[in-house]
Order: sequence, then structure tokens, then C-alpha cells
Amino acid sequence: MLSIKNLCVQVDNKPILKNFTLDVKAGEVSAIMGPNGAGKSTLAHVIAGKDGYDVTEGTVTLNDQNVLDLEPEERSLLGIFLAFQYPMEIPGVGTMTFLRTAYNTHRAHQGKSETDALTFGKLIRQTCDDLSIPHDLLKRPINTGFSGGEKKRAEILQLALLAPTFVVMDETDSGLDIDALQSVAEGVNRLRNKDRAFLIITHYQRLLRFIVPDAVHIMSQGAIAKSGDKTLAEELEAKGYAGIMGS
Amino acid sequence: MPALLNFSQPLADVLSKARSDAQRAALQRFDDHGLPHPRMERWKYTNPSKALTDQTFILQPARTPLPAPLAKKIEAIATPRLVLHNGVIDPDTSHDVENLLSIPTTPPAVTGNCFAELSIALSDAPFSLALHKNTHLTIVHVIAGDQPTAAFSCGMIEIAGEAQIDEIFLSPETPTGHLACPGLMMTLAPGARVNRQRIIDAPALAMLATNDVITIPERATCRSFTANLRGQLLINETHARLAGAGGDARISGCSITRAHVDNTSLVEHIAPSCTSRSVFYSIASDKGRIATQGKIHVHRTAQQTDGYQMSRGLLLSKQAEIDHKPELEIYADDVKCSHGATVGELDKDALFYLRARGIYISQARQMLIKGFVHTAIDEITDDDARARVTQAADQAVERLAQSF
Repeated sequence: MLSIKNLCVQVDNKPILKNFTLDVKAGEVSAIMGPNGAGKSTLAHVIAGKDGYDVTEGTVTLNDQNVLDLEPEERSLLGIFLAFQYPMEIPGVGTMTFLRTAYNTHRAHQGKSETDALTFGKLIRQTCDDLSIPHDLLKRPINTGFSGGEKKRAEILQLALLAPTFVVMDETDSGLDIDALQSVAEGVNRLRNKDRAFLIITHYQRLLRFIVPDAVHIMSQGAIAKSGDKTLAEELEAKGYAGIMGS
Repeated sequence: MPALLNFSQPLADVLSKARSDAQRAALQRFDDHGLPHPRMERWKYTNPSKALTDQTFILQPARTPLPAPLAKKIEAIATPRLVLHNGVIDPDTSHDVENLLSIPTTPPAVTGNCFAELSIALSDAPFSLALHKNTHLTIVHVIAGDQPTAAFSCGMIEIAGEAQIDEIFLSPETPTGHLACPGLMMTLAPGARVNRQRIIDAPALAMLATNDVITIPERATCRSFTANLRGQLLINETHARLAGAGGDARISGCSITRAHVDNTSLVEHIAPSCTSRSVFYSIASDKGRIATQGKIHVHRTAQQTDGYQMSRGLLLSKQAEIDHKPELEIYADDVKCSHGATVGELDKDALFYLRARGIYISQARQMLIKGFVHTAIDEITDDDARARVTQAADQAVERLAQSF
């Protein structure tokens, strides 16, 4: 599935990722944990193709296809999905227009015909119902005036709609209360399957109580410092980053 | 033979013949100052003198038949429609307005606004409309001619009850530049409400200078929205006078151009307890330039005024320019007035967000630009009117997008 090899990334000549290497297999959920400044969000952005990062070395491939030379939209069409830490508020652009445009672009890329507004409306409302997301979100401009929980649920809705193969979740738990966290985790768990992999970036173990990972990696200073199974997250919670890194 | 209009010579000398005293006086006032130029503070960002001085226009030539597609478009307008062909009412294509037309009166002098002076001075047939019942009226401006054509019109509209006025510009695309100066004086009755939407989608080489004087007495509301979508030089001057307690003036608009647009509004709070709101959104691409000047003048008598003004600009190229000049002039002490102005580029993070969902960059840019302008169009409260303006603005964005 996703393979990152010796990835070196700089921002304004400052190294952020240093020989970062990671493999995530199909069907797997990998968690990346790490303190502030470890390079977690940089990793998420580089995978999704955001501007402002200099990749000086290394490769990122999805099913053996190099993604680093692709535009962000090409990566999305290839099956990469970034659930944003801070989903953008875009006043004036209706959520329905946005979702239908994205959905139909993916369909066109797959050689399928465009879905008309009526059919799409039914599909998106059904998807909302499956994820217990109120239809009201669809009537508003993208993320505009949404609460923190609503924004993250809208991300899960997009995830369900676009059905990507590789999902990066960038601190999806930040700013969520426990109920919202559970609800978002339920959504993710529904979307886990053998063909789809997740990379879950988080500060805290609490999200991983609800989305149980197959592997946990601790990131420090731009590289993976330690890897383990789900118990590593529990250990981290007990000892803290300093305790783990010192042991 | 129609007269020729050339701004390099005094107009009163050649154009006074067969005009009323009021028109001759207006011509004289125009000649006293001539065309405005950037040395005047009002015209710092727009230079009509440069655009017009060396040009000769045929003044209001006689009507010639319109191309069939255009005639069909006019025919398809279902509301009562007033067609002004080269500034003069065309009785053949106008429809169902006989009961609305009243006997024209001499328009009051408008000093300090050169294009308003010209509208009064050079209009061949000033018209008056009385909208006394709930009326939906469409005013169609047609400017047509093989040679550069100048059209001046001067309309006075009295409004009681509720009125909806759509104003559109339908003109055949020509290789010559036309000049149109439609002047409108709207006077509302106490408690009257008017929603006016104006879509300026003129030929690419046209120069247009509109001027409005709107008088809003007690409890009356005027909502006016202007979409500047095409034309070489578009100038809109609006003077709203809140003359009675509880009046409400909403003068808003959007501009989408790669040419030049100038929106200048003056909202005068004369009576107490009035509200005003002005929201202008500007999108300039290529070497386009948009100036938005908005002044709220609160007289000493206008206590408990609530005024708001917002001007936002979106630059789509390095050469484009957007100038905002908000002004508050307040002489009353119990007043709430605020204004804001921003200019920026497309939000890179928003663009990335859309692209990260698979939307191609050109489409993502279009979505963001349309989203920006829709925020302004949301000022229009009537659903149908808002949909019409949205459709026209979206087409303007798509035209602009061809150069992305």
C-alpha cells in the first residue's frame, strides 16, 4: 500500500523530516504519535501534496506508484485522502456543490458517468444517515460556522463519499469533546476494510482507544524513534514521551 | 442627422439647440468643469478624461432593427418592460408599461456629478414612471450602432408600495466603443420598499457611467444591487438620501473585471433612526482595476444612525489593482457606524483543501472565486433575483477563468 522511504523534507532550509521510513499495508491502521514539532503534520501535508515543503530526498509510493510528482488532486484521484486537522471554512461555496463536484471528478477519473443532482442528493443523505451526520450540514457553505465536532464529522463524510484507499488523519481528535471523538471514531471504524489503510496522526492515546491500531510508531525529530503494537500507545500514556524515549 | 458628441470642445456651444432651459443650464455646469480627471480627489482612481476626450460619438442615433437573438431575448422578458434604445423609450419593444408612465417633469438639478449633469442635459426624452402598486418592472438598456454611439437617459421613478426593478443591459457586441449614461432618480413614498437589481453586462468596449439619486423617506427601504460584469469602463455613482426616520438604504454590488470599474456611493443620513448597509465585492484579473469609494455622511440631525460598510477585494493577477476608499463623516453623537476593507489573493489553504478532494486546480479556483462573489450576492433577499444575478456573475467568472 503506502511506502515511505528515506524521506527528507525541509521548510525554509530547516530539516523537518529526516530519513523518514514507514510502510503501511492494505487493511492496516497505523498510528503515528509524537510531541509537538516532531514533524507529524509535515508528513501528512507532504503525503497529500501541499505546497511549501522541499522534498530533498526519498520516495513516497502508493501501490508502487510514485506520488511525490503528482498534484494534490492527482493524489486524491489516485486514492489518497487527508482528513485535515483544521478543515477550511469556505464561505460562499455550498457543501453540496463541493461534494458533488469532488464526487463526480472521482467518477470521471474512474471512467464512470456523472451523477445527477437528484441521485447524488439521495446518495449523500444516505451516507449522512449511515454516519449519523445531520443533513443540515449539507445546506451550509463548506465548514462555515461549523463547530469543531461538525467539521471533523464533515471530513468523515467526505471520506465515506470518496472511498479512498489510503487515509491520513491529521490530529482528527484535536478540539473534540469525548462524544464527538467517539462519533468520529465510529465513523472511521465503519470505513475500515481489508483494501483500505489508515495513518492516524495523534498526540494522545485517547483516540486509539476507539480506533484500535495495528501498529503504533513514535515520531521524534523528524524520524520514527520507536515502533510497536497498540500497547506502545498505552505505555506512552503511562510514561510520557520523555519516559519512552529514555527507556 | 444626429449630432456629434466630442468632449474636446465646450458642449453648450454645439448641443444647446432644441434643449430646455434646465438642460442648457446643466450643459453649462458641465462645461464649467469639463470631464473629470485624477487631479480631483473623487477621480483619483478613474480617469474619464483620458478615456473620453479624443473620442467622437454619434449622439443618440435613430433606432435600427436589433439582431434577432437580442430581440428574442427582450421578447422573452415576461414582466412589464421598459426598453431604452440608445437612451430613448422604444415603444415597439417595451411592453405593458403604458399604465406606469406618467407625464415627465423637469428633473431637479444635480450638481457636483458630471455624468448626472450629462444625463439630464443630453437626454432626448426624459421619462417618469409611477409604480404605485406592487410592481415588477424590467428596464432594458440597449445601446446599438455601427459607429461609436452615445446614449443618455434620464428617468424619474416614484415608488409606493413594493416594487421590484430589474435593470439589464442588452447590446449587440460591436468593434466600436459606445458611451451610455443612464441616470435614474428614485423617490420612494413613506413605507415603500424597492428591490432593485442591476446587471451590467455591456459590450466589451462599452463605457458606461450610471448615476442614481435615491430619496428614502420615513420607514421606506431601498435595496439596490449592481453587478458590474462586462465593459471597458464602468462607473456607478449612487447618492442615497435617508430623509425620513426609520429609512433603510442597502446599496451593494459586485464587480468582476479585467478592465476598469469605479463604484462610488454616498449615503446621507439626514433623518434619525435610519440604517444603511453597503457591501461591495471586487474581483480584478489581468490588468483590471476596481475602485470602490463609499462615504457615509451622518448629519447632525441623524441621531441613532446605524451605518455599515464593507468592501472586499480579490486580486487574481500581479498587475490587477483594487482600491478601497471608505469614508465616514459623522456630525451626530449617538451613532453606530463601522466600515471594513480587505484586499487579498485566493486563499492558498482553501485551494489546497479543494484540490485535496480531487478537484482540478482550474475548477477549484473558479469555485473559490464564485464563492467569494456569492457572499456579496447574498445581500439580495429575493430568491429569484438572487438566482438571476448569481447566474450572470458565474458566467462572468467563467469568462475570466479562460485566462487562468
